[in-house]
Amino acid sequence: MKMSVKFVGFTGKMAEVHVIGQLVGASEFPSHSLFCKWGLHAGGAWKLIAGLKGGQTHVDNPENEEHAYWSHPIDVHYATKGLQGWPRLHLQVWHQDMHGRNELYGYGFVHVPSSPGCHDIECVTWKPNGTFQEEMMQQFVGGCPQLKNPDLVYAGADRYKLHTTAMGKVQIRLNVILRNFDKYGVEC
Amino acid sequence: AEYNGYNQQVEKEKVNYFIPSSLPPEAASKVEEDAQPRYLEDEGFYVGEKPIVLQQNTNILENRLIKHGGRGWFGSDGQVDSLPNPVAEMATKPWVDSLDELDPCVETVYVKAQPRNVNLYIIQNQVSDENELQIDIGSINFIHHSLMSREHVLASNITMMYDEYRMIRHKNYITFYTDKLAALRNAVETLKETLGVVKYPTALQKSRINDFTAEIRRTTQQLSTAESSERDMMRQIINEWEAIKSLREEQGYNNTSVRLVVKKEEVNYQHDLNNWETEVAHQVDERRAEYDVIILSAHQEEMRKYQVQLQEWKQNRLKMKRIRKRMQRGSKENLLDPSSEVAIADIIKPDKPPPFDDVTVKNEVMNDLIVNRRNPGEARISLELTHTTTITPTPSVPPSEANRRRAMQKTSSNLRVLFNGREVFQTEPKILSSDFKLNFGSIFRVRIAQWPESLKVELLTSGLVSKSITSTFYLDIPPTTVHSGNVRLGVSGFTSNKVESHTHEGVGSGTPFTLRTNETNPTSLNTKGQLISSVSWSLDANGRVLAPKGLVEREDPISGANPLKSNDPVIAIGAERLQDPESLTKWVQESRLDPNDPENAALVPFMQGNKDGDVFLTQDYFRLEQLQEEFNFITEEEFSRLNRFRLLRLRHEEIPEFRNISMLPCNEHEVTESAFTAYERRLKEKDVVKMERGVDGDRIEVLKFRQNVKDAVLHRFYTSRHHYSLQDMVHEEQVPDIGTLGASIVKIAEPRRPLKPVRKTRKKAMSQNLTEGSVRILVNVVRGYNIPTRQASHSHQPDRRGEVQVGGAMAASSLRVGQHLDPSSKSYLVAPFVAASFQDATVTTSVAQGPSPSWNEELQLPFCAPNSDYNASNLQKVDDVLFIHLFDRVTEDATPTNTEDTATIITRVQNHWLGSYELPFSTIYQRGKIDGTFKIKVPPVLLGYNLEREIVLYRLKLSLKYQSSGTYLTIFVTLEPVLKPMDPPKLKFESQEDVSLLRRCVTYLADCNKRYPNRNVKTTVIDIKGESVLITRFVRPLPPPPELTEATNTNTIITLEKIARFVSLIPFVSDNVTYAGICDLWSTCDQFMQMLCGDEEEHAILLLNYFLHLGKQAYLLLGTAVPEGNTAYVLTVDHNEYIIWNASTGEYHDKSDPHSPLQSVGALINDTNIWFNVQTQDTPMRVRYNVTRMSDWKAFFPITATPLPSIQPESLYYPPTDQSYVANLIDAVERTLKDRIVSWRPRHITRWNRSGNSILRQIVKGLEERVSRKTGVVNTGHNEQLLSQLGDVRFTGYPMDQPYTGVEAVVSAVRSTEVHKIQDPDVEFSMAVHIHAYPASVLAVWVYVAAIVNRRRHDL
Repeated sequence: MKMSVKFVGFTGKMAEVHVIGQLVGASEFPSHSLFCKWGLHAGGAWKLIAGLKGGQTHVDNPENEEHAYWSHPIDVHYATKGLQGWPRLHLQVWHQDMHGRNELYGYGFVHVPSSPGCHDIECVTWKPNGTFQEEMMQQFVGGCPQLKNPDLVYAGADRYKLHTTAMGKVQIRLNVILRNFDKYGVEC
Repeated sequence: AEYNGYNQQVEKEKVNYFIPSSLPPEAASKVEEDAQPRYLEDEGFYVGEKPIVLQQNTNILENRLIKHGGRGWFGSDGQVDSLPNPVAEMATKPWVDSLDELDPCVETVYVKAQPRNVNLYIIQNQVSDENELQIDIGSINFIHHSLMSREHVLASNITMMYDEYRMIRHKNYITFYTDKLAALRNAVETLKETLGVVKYPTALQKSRINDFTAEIRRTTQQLSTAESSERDMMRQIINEWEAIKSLREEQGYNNTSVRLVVKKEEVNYQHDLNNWETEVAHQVDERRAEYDVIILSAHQEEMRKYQVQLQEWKQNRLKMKRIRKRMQRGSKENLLDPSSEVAIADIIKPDKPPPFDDVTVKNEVMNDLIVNRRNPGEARISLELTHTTTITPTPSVPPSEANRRRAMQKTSSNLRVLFNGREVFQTEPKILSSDFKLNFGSIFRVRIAQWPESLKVELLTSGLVSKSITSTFYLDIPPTTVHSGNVRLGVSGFTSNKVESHTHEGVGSGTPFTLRTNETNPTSLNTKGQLISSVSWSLDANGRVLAPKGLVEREDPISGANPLKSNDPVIAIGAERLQDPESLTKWVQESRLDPNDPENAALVPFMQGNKDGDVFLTQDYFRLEQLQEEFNFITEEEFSRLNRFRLLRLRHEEIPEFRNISMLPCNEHEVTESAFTAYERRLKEKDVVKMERGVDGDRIEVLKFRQNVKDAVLHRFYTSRHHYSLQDMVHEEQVPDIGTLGASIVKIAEPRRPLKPVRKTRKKAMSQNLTEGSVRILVNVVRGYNIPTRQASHSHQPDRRGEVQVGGAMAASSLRVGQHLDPSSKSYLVAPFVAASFQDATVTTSVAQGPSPSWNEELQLPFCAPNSDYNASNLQKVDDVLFIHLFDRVTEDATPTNTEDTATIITRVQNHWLGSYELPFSTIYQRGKIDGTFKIKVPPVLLGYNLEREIVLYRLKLSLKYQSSGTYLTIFVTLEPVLKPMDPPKLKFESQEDVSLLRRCVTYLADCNKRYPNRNVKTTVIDIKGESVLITRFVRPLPPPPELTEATNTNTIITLEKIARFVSLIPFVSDNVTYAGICDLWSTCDQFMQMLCGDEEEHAILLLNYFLHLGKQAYLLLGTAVPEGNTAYVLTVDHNEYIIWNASTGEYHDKSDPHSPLQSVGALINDTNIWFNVQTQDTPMRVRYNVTRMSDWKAFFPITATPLPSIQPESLYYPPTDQSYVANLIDAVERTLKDRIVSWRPRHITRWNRSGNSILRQIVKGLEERVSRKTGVVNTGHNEQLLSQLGDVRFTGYPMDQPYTGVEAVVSAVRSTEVHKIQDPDVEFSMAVHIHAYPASVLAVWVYVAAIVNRRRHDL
């Protein structure tokens, strides 16, 4: 995508982005029985005009595979008046243990691809490390240190201060349809 | 290969190889020819640090570069050009040692693994503990203001002076110094005494005395200055006061309330004189002592020095003389020693100080005292400034002053607070008080994410037209230790340089004016004032200070990496104390920073700032979405003007009009403006409540109130709608286990019984599968009872034609109590049929015969949901009503009798309305099916019909004394397919009730439901605020409107009937319609009376409360009834007579009445207790109503419990209904009805029978009175009256009554009677409308419609 120099004025058309796809699943996590909370975050110039911008998948616990499948649909329609704040997808992978308790397994975020077409995306996730005591507790009784401010996942330059552990990957398949961007001098 | 010797090899290499020398190369070879190295650093350019390389290596490099002729590698300073050291000093990933130092931004919190309910499914953008500044704006005192009059200026001056004076007085310097002086003197005395004893004082003691004397001297001085300054102050104040007084006199009015009170305290002259003299003596003594100590001792010291020097000089001279002699003897050189001469000149004998002159000193002291201190006998004066003068009222001041005052009232000021240059709030505009104060008294909280850089306050003054910034000043950002618990209001001053001048008495600001008349130099004052305010950090619930946790104090290892530092140059250079950007600009100018140092790059704007003044103010921070505006494709307005976008957005927001648009046009131009018209109209209507014709303020208020309540409640429950359970999402077939398998096997073996069909539950249709026209309402009309029969025909009437004609002297049968009946009347003929109408569609059954017909027909009515939305939430809101009308089909000749052609008879079919029944769609929807026998609402008078015939005979036969009269229909109503009613939201409501009480409610309900799951019982209900309230709190005796109880014995059934009638006249609106899909809301009686609508509970509660007030033993009866389902009735107990009242219709039945709509009794409630029916029987006829029997009734509270306080008001206010409004309304209704009847008969001429109108009008006025009394024989004489007036006519007609809800309701009721469908060409209509006004705008509308056919003309 590039922004050409020529700028077309008000054309009476709005730039639209359809994001249609799914959260396919997750792999490489320490254990299964995972579910995912997701949300789409876009800048102020973006207006959601159809679809849900957040949700939660079911818990998938495959017995003989190192993979959790959700196939959770994402279908949103944005209208925008500017390029800034291109939507991004943030994810929280949770683990449900055998007692039915939920614990955080990882944070992750990816930008929605800006070129139209079908995209297979892999989002790597991480989770914050806690103190020694917390790590021990995690080992034996479950639970996880969580960010007090979840915005940090996709915003904020302070993240370098965090100590984190790499977790698994989340597979996402997104189809992006752009409309009327060429009217505003954006070539896809 | 050839071997060469080592030396040879070396030689060869020397020729071929270049080994750069490690010695420094010549500087000249590195720079341009004939040029000096130039050191940019010395010239003031920023160069930066170069990476450290060993000198040797540098040299090698340089030599090599020179060898290759690469002069371009060298900079002008002769050094190899290199970038500044790119290596950071610190590691980029610092280890965080402990959690204390963790940045609050990245803090983590340990969350235990726990089972969560699903409602947390969306990642919540919860905001972690934010920082909050609390800004308390107290008030503003203007010291000077442009609108001040001269008197105000003086008053302001005097006030300031007085404040200062008071401060001095408060500190009480005079007493302090006097006491101190006395103490010092005492100390000196005692010291001297001891000295006298000791005789030879030590040096220490002496010096102490000296110290004391010096101290005394200083204190005396201070005392006199203090006293003199106080006296000066007083003098000034008095001068100012004089000026004010003279000004007031001169201008002839008072503008300020200041008044100076001079208090004199008489003193004892003798005592004073003594004091005075002692003081003088003391001071003289002290001066003398001082003289002794300082001057004399100094003199002595000097004398001693002088002596020593003299001695030396003398010795020197001797020495000199000797030398000189020797010199004279020796050589002549060094004849003169100049130094010796100088020495002589140096030594001067000190003068003896003048002796201590007692008299002069005493005079001096006395003068000093007279000038500076209170003289003996002079009264002690204290001043007090009060505000007791009355300000001359505006009418009696000259116009210029009046103008000034007017200007003051028109001027309002408010404060705007800008945080980091962005406006965060404005205070309410305030008008200047007469003493030039603005009291704001508002506390604002500012949640902040950024470190505060500046907190600017702008004082805005709005004049007649525009606002202008009067003054701008900065508040200090408090240190993190200052929080709302410990902060005090502080004063910050501000000034304004704005020049203002006025034509009225206001002195203006920045413009010269003469303050006092005798002054020659004009003064000029600038607007000046003080803001009393405080800024602090808020405390959270745990008392933690909500301040950013040391974001600034902590040193960050990487320069510029801290977001604050990178963003904020001010903090980055460590000048964070300078929170005022203007002073920062100044600081930057003064500190001469290197503009080329990248470290300072952020400050460059400040440096340039001095070129065009305060650049900082023009630099606006807009960090949220930087440069958004610049890069926008289209502007916000253009964006929101896009129709397609609007349509999409409105659909997304689930605005009802747009919610179900499934296909949207793809292109902008395909979306027309007309798509929004309905929506925009609705928006407009929301603002302006529909101004219905004839609706006055009362009703508008009610409508508004209802709308408000509805909006609030809807908002409250909106979120709860999106809760889904697993069953909603996953359809899981039950896994067959041994039990179900066994049962199915048994089923196979079971004998088939085709004559005993088992009801199959119909599958409920999901809303998404429904389309337009796929839903129907099925009405199965089974049979009717006791349908009114036509009256016997007129004596001289031919049978064929006279079926409906009104008999002449035929006495009408009595209504309810009807004891006698004309036994001779033989004609029970009636040809009834049922018409069901819903949403403009009408279907009818076939015509049956007789008063007890059996139709057994199924009628189907199409149903279409509004906006084609079959969602449960939308269906809930459908407020359409299914009407079931009962008609009598009459066929009559249309052929005139005197036609020649007797072979052809043309008959005209005419339907006569007998009664109707209304079933709200919401009831059908909620209950799924409605099955039962319902009483048809038949008008009290049906001209030409006998109402009571059948039942009276029946009753006579069986002597069933409890059976109530009336016409009944057995019907069965359901929806096809069954729609799934929405589950009530399973919400826990907030409650003010005690927790233990609520817990008991839960256990009580669980117990009740376990024993009899189908019986209706409630313990807590939801009030209009959405809180659960214990049901007994709704019960409280309330007085009914006095009009209803007066003039009759309060305990008779008549009064009760009247009250029931009043309650039933309050319009009935189901909660399901009003609060769509939410739940049952109970409103208190005052809310009910205010809203003038409610459903069963509200009616029942009101009726119960009235009955209790009359001293009746009454209960709220929760049970099930047809058609309402779960409902609330009222039970009154009177000497073993149990009467069940349906409060929403006003009807009552004995408990043994088989036609009572009540089907089962679940619970009884009064103000003290709730009793659940634990008897095996629950039909009202068989229930024992003695609640004290523990085996029959399970009580909620123990018997001893005290009743809970009620939430009902103590009494209700019944505003009298405006009679003129009622008269207008009657007029309006009548006019509308006439217009409509004409418009319903487009192909016929509609004639109005005026005399009929007037007769009907007379009759209709008496109807309400009669019906409410139910004294029987309502229609006695209607016929006679009409006939006697109109002559030989036949007619059909009936009065109808209903609670007034709106004109449209009346119109549709009239239309449903199909009176207008009479096609007889000779028909004339008569109509009369009467509205009986009860208090509190409860209106009963009576419409009497009649169709009159003049028979004489007909028969001729």
